[in-house]
Amino acid sequence: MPSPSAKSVSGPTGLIGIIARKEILDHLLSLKFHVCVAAMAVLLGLSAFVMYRDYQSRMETYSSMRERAKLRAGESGLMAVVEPRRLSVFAKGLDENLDRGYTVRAYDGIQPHEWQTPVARIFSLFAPPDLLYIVKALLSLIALLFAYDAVSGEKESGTLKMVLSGSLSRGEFAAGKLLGGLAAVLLPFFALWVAMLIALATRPLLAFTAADFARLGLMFLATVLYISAFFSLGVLVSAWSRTSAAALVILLFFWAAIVFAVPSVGNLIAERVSPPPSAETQELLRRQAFVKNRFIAIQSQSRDRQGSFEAFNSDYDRLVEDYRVRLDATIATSKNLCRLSPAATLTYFFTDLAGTGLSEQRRLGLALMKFKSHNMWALTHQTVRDAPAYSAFEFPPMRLPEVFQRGALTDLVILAVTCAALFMGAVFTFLKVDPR
Amino acid sequence: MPEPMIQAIKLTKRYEDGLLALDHVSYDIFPGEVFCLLGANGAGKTTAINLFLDFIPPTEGEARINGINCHQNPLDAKRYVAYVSENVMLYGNFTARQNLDFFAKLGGKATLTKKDYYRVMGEVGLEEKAFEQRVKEFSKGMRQKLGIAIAMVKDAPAILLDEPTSGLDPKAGAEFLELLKRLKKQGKAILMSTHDIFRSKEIADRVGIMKEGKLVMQRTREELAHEDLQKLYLDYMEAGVTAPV
Ligand SMILES: Nc1ncnc2c1ncn2[C@@H]1O[C@H](COP(=O)(O)OP(=O)(O)O)[C@@H](O)[C@H]1O
Ligand SMILES: [Mg+2]
Repeated sequence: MPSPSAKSVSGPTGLIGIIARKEILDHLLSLKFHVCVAAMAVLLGLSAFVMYRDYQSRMETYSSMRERAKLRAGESGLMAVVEPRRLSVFAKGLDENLDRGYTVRAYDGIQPHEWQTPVARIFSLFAPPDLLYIVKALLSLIALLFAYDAVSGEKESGTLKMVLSGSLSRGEFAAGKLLGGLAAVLLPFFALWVAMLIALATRPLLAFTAADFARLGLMFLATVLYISAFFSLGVLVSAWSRTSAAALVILLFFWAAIVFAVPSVGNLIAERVSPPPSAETQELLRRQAFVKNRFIAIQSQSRDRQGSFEAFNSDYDRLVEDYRVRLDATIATSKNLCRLSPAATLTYFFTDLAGTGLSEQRRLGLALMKFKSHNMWALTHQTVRDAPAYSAFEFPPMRLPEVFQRGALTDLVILAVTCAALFMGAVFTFLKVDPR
Repeated sequence: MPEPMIQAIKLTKRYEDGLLALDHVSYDIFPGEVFCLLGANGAGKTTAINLFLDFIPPTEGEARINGINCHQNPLDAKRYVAYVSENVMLYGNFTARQNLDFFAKLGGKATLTKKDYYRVMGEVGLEEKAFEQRVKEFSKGMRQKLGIAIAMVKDAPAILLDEPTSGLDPKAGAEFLELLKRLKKQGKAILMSTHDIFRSKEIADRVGIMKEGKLVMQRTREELAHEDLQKLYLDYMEAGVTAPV
């Protein structure tokens, strides 16, 4: 009996490695790769520049507002000033809503400070070019561009027959292709991201802490899962469709649906299912309560200013709480619907880690309420001699365990499960491919 | 009696659309033997080869390499077989050597050097300046030669060749014949589908003629010595699927 030609020295993992290396080399030699990496470099560079400038001007506004808040405390209410989050340069999220000054008055509730003009208004017209957006929309597209012809291309060119005439299983071939192709997308991106991070971290304004780096690490993990999911989807469709052109069209459709359509539709449905309270209604109710309380106060001729304020404030707080409960319900519904799309899940994860997400907004609302109630006595006794001192506004960033507990863990699990399912899906679809 | 290296046992393939492409075909190819399959386009030659490589499942019967059932143990069976497709397609962005290197490693040959690759490429008649040239600039004949080099590097005891000379110029065709003779001397069992009646007569130990999925004729080299193979072939094409009168 003749000896087998393939020696058993190269086990299955060896074969996967050979395929993965071939795949990387094949990408490195292609024009597509160079164009895509150049696009990544340009966008990440631009993002670092724009987001840093944005952060810088927000910090300037913050500093001057804080000074003003100190100098004018009590003059016409109290000011609470929220510091921009460092990691907002990677995921701007709701930062525009969060970092601004709020004026707290005894019987006028909590108002965003009129004096502050939001810095980069243009961002509300266009999506901010932060890292989150680059990963969510651009890198996912690049992953699909790298994957759409992974199988169909080899079928069309006939190399699939050549490879599968060898003694390697289809599972090994699919795994090698997936891992090699992913490395070709993720390694250059990671290198460029690190370069961007170094450029930003060396700015004195952005002294990232160890905790920030831990969060950045988690963002990278989420990026790997998200991009792997897209790449696997690409290979799956490529193995399933007859031609590369068909695969590309199908994948572009999926991409648009996942990145743009599902999150928008999710929000629309959520607003129908659980309508958010309208701001005008709330304002109207607030004024009614105010007038009613004043009326009662005058009627009773008790001249009980304090009592009137308290009555108003308890009414007001009830209204705010009602508003918040309804808004939370809308947000929860929307979040659960939108999580159908990995792009939305990634957005929740990034912004929650960066401290610019939905849960941070909720926390800010509570912190402002607390600030107000702590200072209510002082505010209503402004004119009195020996008035008590105002307590300072505190809004420290959420700790990591709390971030996880408030939904980030769910997001990470969803991304991991999606990624694993699509990876397995791609391998299994490939097992049935007719190589001819 | 030695074991056959390549073996078709009542091999049958009916495609999903109902077409019977291969109808109970049986043949044995022993080490050191060249078996040439002749037959018109669509006779079922490629289908048989695809069954040996388990690209498609058989409807009935068995394809065996070195006694191993190709459908039940494809990975095992394919360790013993090298394959050159009808139209060799390779990785266009890679050079000839990079292609050869990839397929050699895939076949478990991890220790080959650049020199080994250059030697094999020389043997199959590739010009030296093509060794480090990107394959996408290759002509069909050059790709075919490289495909043969890849099969040779795998050094498998069974070789499946699907119309290997179809893109080769006359000189390259003649060189290929010499190569085939050398492989035969090394004891390889070779299955070759071809339209080239004259070369078949020169190299084949046995010739089979296929028609509409059936193996309608098998002759040994000795039997053919006194016959006109071309006339025989045309007679079979004329007649039904039974032997000509
Ligand atoms: N995937 C397929 N599905 C249906 N019919 C096929 C398929 N592949 C080949 N055939 C048919 O099977 C017959 C034999 O084809 P093939 O083996 O390629 O012939 P040859 O290689 O001898 O020219 C032809 O009639 C061809 O049209
Ligand atoms: Mg054919």
